[in-house]
Amino acid sequence: MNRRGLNSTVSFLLVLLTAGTVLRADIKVTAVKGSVYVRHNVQEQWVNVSPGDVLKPDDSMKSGRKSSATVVIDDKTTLTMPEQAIVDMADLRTLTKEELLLKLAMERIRSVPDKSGDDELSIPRTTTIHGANMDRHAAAGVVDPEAGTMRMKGTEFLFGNGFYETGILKAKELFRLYPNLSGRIDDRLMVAKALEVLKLKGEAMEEYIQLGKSQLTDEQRAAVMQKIELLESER
Amino acid sequence: MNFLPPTRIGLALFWMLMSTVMSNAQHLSSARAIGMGGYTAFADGLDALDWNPAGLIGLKDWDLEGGNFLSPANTGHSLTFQLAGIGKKFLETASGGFRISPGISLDFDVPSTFTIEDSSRTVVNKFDKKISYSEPYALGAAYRFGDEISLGFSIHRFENHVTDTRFAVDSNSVIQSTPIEYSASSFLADLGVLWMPQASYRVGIVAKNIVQIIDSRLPDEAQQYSLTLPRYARAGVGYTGIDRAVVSLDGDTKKQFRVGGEWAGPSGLMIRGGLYLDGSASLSADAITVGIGGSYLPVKLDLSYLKFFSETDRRGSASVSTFQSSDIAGVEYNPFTGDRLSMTARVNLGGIKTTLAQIERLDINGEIFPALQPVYAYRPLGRAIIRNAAKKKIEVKLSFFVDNLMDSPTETKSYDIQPGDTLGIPFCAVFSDSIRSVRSLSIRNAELTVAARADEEDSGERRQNRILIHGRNDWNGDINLLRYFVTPDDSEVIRFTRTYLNHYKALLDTVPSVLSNMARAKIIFNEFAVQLLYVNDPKKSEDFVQYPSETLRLRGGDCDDLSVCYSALLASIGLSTAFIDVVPPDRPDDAHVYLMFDTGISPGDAPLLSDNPKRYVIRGNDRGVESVWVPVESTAITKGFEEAWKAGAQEYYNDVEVKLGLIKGWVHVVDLGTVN
Repeated sequence: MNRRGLNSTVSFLLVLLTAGTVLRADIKVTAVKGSVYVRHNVQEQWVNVSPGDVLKPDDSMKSGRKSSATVVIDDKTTLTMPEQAIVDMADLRTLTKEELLLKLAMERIRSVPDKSGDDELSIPRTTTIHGANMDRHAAAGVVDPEAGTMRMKGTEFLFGNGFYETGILKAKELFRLYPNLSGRIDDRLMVAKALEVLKLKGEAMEEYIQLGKSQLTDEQRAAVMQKIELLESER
Repeated sequence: MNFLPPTRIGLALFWMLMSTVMSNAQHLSSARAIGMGGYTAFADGLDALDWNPAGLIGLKDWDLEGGNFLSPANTGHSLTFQLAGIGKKFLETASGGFRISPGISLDFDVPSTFTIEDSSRTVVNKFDKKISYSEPYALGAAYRFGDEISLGFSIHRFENHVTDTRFAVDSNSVIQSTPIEYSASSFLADLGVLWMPQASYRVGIVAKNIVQIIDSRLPDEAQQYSLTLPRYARAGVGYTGIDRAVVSLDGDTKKQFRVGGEWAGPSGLMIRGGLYLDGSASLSADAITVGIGGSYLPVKLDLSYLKFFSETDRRGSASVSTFQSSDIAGVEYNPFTGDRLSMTARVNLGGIKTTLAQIERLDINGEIFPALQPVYAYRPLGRAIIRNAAKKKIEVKLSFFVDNLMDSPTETKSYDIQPGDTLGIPFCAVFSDSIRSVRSLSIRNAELTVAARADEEDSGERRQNRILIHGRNDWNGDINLLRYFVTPDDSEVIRFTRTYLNHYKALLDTVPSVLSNMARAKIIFNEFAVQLLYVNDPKKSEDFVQYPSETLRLRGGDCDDLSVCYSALLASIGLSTAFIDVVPPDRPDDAHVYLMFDTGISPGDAPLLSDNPKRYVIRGNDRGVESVWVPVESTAITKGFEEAWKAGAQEYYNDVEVKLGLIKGWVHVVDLGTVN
């Protein structure tokens, strides 16, 4: 079998195996209150959104202060986005447990060249010709510090509507992109609880253990320790 | 009737009339062959001229062979010089041999009485009529096709001499005797094949006397002494899978069968035994054989004894009618052959050292791609199955060499092999840069040598194999191997980046250090774009990839060429890159490759690049440090960096985040290295 034939076969099998995840293709905006914007795919600009607009999975929606938007997914599910939130439309879906675990595992995969034993070579690097440039200006600073908070609000919206898998992934991404958000204990507890809901007890316990290392109130710490003991006893 | 050496039958004794027709198709030119019984599948020296000419391929460089025999059952008891020959192996696949054999003959001595009577006296004259059949010389050659099959032929000179005395009374009434001599000769050819389908099995098939070229015939008055050797076929099988022993079985169309074997005893002594069976009427045992053999340095000596169960006609005399009714299929082995003690000596001049290790099989792992030159130095190119042919533990080391493509052979480490064991040893190949000059698919000869050592003794064996070398730009479609086309240390690549980064040095100095990599990548990309004249099909071509210097020179290429080139340019200034290989499950023919590079920006500073997180990818390196990577669609190069970035980011987001291609396995990210 040539490579194309093999690819076709493998692809067909993959399609069969992963048929569980159906991408929401039809996301219709039915109501808008206040300032609500959409950003298409990888564009930088936010544009106003109006009732009747159909959004694509690679779009994102942002709501302003005292604003909200209602969307209907595949004419079945109605969701109302809260104020001051950013939600990626691709996250309005349910992943299988395997897909979630794979995505979580992917985060831990490092970007290193494939080295199976000592039989591989790295591409050699030529020395940079300019050398260190000591007089460069420092970075201008992070743009739009509110973006992280709004996206986390969008993540809470995901959890609130049962999109636990995408919510977990999004929250973890935000903790990496916006390190100050990792101090929001409630959001981290939300991730751990979502893992519990999905019966990923090992992953949930890991989250609680990491939380236990953070600065917690006595009440939070007691709750975390209780969860750890409970999960430990269920093992 | 007395035998003259080696076989002389006087027809003066008419004491028995035999009606049995005996046909015999064995050969007695090798003590080892006699000892083993069946030998068609094992013939491996000059004895192969008789047994199976394909076995000549078993010659080791220069081989000399000589043989004698003694027939104790005959009255003469004399030692007969049977044969001497020389053989040579040419290259690894061809062999040839020549042999003189004064001892391969069959002589008959017929005493006659001529009586003249007149009134006064009776004159009695006695004389001998001599009938002789001989095979004075033979030659042959063999050729090996691959590892399993060898073919060979041999040509035997066959001569027939009759010496008689003619009497006449001349005009003076004096009796005149005149010796007369008749001769006939011919060439007989054998064809043989030797097949070794597995390491443990051997099969030999030979067609005897298949071609007969008559040189001269006996005149009519001597036709009764003419002997025509019959055409027949023989097949033999051998099994070597038994520990320290081999067994063999032969059978031919004349319903003669032989079974026997050889056992490797202590101190290198070989012990043999065989049984000769005749199935022409009902299956009965004809003879039994025993033999021993041994070697010292280059000399091999074999001794065998052939004992017939019936001695009738085998003691040097027989009746005329027996002779006339017998079906002689061979000069040497026939109904009149007696018991004999045979000795054969074989000297190998070219291969004085004993073979300690044998190459049973040589496997090359597919075709060879010049772009993978550095890979072959570390990843095994193939594997050789080596057998310990000694009776003790040996230490072996392989070396692999391809002429013109390697500066010197690449050696493996040493491996120990226990007696009788086989071991698969992987070997690598350090190709020289000349392999990157191979323009198109070509076939080369590769040579594998195994050097074996045991105690103070060592030996070597070579094997040639053909290998398929692809052209320098050929690619097997494996994204993991595409990285080997990325050559950041190429002088043209370095010149390109050095030129343009120097040109924009003033501008770069104004860029915040956190964005330095991004700025340099952008400058190089845009300058690269300016130079491009055309861009081919954005799809990935699975069979041809340009090196970066070629893409810079040709000013164009398809998606893999551009991705490779841009990766090399970025790598040459110290940026890590990765290929993104996409094989859409619903459109596998639209396979595509683009790339992303490491900006070195920490995730917290990612918004400096873009407010839209879909424009970049957060990835961790092997030190656990995460940074922002930027996807770039290299085929959008003519639109400039911003558009190429946007296109790359959109593809990545759709394929990886929306369609989950990475976890579903149809998107692969192949890292090319990290910045040290």
